[in-house]
Amino acid sequence: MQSSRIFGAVAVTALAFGLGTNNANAVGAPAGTPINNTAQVDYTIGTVNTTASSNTVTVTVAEILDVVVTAQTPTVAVNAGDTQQEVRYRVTNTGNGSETFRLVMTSTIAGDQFDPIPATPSIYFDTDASGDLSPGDTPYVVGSNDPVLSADGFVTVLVVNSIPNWVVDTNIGFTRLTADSRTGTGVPGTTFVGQGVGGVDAVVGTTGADSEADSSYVVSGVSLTAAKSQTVVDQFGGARPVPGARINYSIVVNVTGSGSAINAVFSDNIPANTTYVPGTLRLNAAVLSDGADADAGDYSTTPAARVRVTLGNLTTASGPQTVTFAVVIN
Amino acid sequence: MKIFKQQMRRASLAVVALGLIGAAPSAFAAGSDTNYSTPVTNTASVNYSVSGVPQTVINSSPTGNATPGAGGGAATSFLVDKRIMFIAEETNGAATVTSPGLTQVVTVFRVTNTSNGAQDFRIAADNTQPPAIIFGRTDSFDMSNFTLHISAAACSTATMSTPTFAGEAATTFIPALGEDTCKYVFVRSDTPVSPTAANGLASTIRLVVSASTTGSSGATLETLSGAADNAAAVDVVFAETGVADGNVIHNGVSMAFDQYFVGTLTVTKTAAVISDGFSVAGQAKAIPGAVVEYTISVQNNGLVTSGAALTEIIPANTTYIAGSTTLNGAARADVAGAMPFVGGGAISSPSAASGVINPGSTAAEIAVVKFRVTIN
Amino acid sequence: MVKGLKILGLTAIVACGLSSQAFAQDKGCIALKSTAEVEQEVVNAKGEKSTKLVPLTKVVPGVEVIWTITANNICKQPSEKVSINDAVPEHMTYVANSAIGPGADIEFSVDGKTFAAADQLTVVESGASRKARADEYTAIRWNFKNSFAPGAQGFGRFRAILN
Repeated sequence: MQSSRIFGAVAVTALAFGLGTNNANAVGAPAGTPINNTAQVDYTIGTVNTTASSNTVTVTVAEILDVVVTAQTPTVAVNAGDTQQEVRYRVTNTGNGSETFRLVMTSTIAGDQFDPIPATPSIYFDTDASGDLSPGDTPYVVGSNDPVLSADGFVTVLVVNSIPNWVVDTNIGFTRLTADSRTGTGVPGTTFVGQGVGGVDAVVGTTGADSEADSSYVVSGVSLTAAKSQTVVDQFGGARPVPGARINYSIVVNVTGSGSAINAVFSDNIPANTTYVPGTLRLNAAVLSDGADADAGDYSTTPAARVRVTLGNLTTASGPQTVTFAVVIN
Repeated sequence: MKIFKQQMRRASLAVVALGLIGAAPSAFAAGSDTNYSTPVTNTASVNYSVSGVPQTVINSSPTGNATPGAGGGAATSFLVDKRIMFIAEETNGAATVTSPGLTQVVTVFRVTNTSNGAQDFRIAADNTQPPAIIFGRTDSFDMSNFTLHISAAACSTATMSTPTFAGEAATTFIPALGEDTCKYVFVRSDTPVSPTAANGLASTIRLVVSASTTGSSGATLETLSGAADNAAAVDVVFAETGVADGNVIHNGVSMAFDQYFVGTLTVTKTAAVISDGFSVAGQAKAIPGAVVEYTISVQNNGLVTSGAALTEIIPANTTYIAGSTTLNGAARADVAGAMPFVGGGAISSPSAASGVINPGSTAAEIAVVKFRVTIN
Repeated sequence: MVKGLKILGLTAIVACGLSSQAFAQDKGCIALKSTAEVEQEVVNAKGEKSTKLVPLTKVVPGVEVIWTITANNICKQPSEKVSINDAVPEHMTYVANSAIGPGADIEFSVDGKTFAAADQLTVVESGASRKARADEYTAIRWNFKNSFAPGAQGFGRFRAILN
């Protein structure tokens, strides 16, 4: 076990994290856009053709204040007593001008079985775009680093809670992220004269210029255990771990509890002073190629030599998963 | 006109009286002045007796005659000299409206001869300016290709009118304008193109009328005779008196000024946000999705047009609302699914024929086009 | 004038032996001269204004002309009952109260036939008789009350404005 780690309940997508911009133009003409129009009249006096042009009338597009918060991880499986459990949100400026938003989280929400305990700090930006809470992420401090989002821009935000240790399997605890426009909120149509981009009027859009989204922590009760065993075969027909001897590893992953281990991945570093024996990776006795390809396993030397097997969603119904591979002592 | 004439006569008298004294005449005959070159003669006679015997009458002579009888003596006489007196006047006290590039635009003057007999005049027009602006407008461009034409219309010295040009031939002089008669003179000139001639700009022009000698076709100007009278010849005195607009009295020249005023169509465009989906009427904001109504008002400040056509562009970041176009309040159908003026379309004053915009600033003359777009 | 003087001398000699009537057939006893002049204002060195008659300048309508008729007795005998007639020239209008004539009674006429003093001259207009206006005068007559001695001279003068 000392060199094995299991990552459970991780939904990895290809999306980049952190600040971004949607390609689709959700709200139309940007605030402050001048819409210019000039008319022309051609006419004839006697036989002389003449042209008259109108003044150019300019309509400057006002700013719409709109924001949408979406839960990227609507349901997260947790275990009793877990700490630093993050849920991921996306805050999108669906208005048509650059806008600053304030973020607020709460976990005291009616309708659930337990209140997750907000961490301190409890809101982070996913600064390193890793999709999960990691040391490179920046804590959010209200009024200090409120996110400034361009029209259609978004930011990925992590809300972090701990799970009380008294919860039981299938309990649900809600947590919520709210974002509101710093210019102002209100019923749609509320106008903030001259407070929009470049001095145009700002008008509260259909969202009321604020938005919230809930995520659920679900006590899944799932637990993965891995039992690792090894056998040594030396080149002399013995079982001594001498240079040139081969070590056959066998790791059995067992699932217990009611939940699902989502996208479970087995990863094991090749021990120091040994070298992986190519072509020896197996999952439940099925041969896995060493390359990163369609099958579940691969061997990689970067950043460190390791083998990895994607186990998928595991429940107790999945039964034990046995991974084997071999190394040679240098 | 009699008063006018009398004033001129009195003024004339004052001129001649520079070196003369004499009570102003108590009454002027209402009739015509004595024509120049008329001989004025005087022969006095004397009857007397010598030693109680009546003698034959003796007639006078300029130097003294003692020869009795009808055959004796000679008249003392002189020829009436020429008092040249006339005035050029603009007829209607208003500028003539023109349009950029318009040629042969007509202005009208009147030339009145109050000399004591018929008089020839040279006439010419140019862009020379009066000392003060006229009709409240500063001159800002020059007209070109001046031509002058004598109106065939009847001219009254008593009542000013402004006749219409009727194809009269161009000329440079007025021959033998009778005493106390007048002629209307048309000045025609060409307007420069825009932007030299632009709406609201004006060009002031001058008519110069100079007394010219009889039969010279305007080629030879009259000249003031020397101080002493030649009793046997018709001497010339300049007696015109007008001093307005920089005129100099007694120089045989009278100037008058008129003005061309450029009037074009002015096209005014306004935009109003009709609705934005949220706000109450009148407070809608120009947010994406809002409906904007454009109003194009076309006012004619000049001459009646033909072929007036409006060309519109649906602005970037907006979408035309099908069927929303009106002309003078009446729906104007879309063309091929597009705003009907995008490719150019005829407009007109309400109740006017297509392409005709009548001059004026009231709703009866202004053409109004409206259409609506939504902001993307 | 030199020639005139010679004739004058000759006339004087001939006249000595002839009757006045016979003499009248050839040469009269009065030389009559009509002169047209205008009046000019002059200012002297002291700035005082005065007028003098000068030869005609240009004569246009409105100009006042001063006509002077001079009668000079050129005979050795006196001339009696001297009476100068002058019509107001055509195209001219007599200036009221302008006629003068030292030693003469002045009469006017509106028809050239009937003469009367200014305050007695009447015209009939629309069936009514009224006093004639000066501008209606067409002729003037100076009747000298005294004889003209030999070499004596008299004159009548009036002003008229060119119509």
